[in-house]
Amino acid sequence: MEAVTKNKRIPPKSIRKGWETRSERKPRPLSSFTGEWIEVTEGMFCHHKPDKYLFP
Amino acid sequence: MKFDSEPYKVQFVQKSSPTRSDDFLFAEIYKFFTDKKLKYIVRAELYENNTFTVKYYAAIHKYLDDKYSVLTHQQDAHRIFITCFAIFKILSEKYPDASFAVNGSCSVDAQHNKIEGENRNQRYRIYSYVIDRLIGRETFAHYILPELSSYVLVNRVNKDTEAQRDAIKEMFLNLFDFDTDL
Repeated sequence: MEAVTKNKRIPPKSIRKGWETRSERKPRPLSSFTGEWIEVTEGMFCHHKPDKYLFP
Repeated sequence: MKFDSEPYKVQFVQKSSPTRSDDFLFAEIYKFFTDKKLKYIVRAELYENNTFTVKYYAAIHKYLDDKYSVLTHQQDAHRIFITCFAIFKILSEKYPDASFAVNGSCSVDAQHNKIEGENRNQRYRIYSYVIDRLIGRETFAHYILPELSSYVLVNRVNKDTEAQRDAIKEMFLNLFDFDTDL
């Protein structure tokens, strides 16, 4: 059990999924862009509803 | 994230004209200083579809190409966000018909020379949370474009908010680095 824990490595931030080497980054093909909008309904990202909004 | 913090004191710097290569009509520039005396510059650029994009960076990074992406590690992000939203409020009072577009810049890991992807990046996830928390639905219609990590607030003075939203998408297509070759 101890050996398993020892070998368990946490990947550094730089090799997280979706991260690329800067020099290898290429412009994304326009054909891959779907441009799909999503309307954000209240509480979609933050469940806490404030007493007063900064903008109504 | 703390929302009870006061924004930093914001100062208007200047109204800036575009250079030949710029697409925006004009930019309003603001500055503020954090408690740790770090100066931040906020640029609000107005585009033809009456939409502001708001960008900010630490002044110490002003000569870097990726100044909007570099992290400062000041542990003060919440108050900086709150201050940027205070600038939204100033702009909204000056230009009551304006819409706003916010794009989450991809973070850069300078140590490993790596850059974050564009889809639902870290900043976008934070901005989405903060905007949903601070801004209601009466003044603005809220839309996201997760592929580009973009959050758009369409002013409801536009009768057709979806048409305005699509005009903003066209603006994004010109601003982002896309390969149009098939």
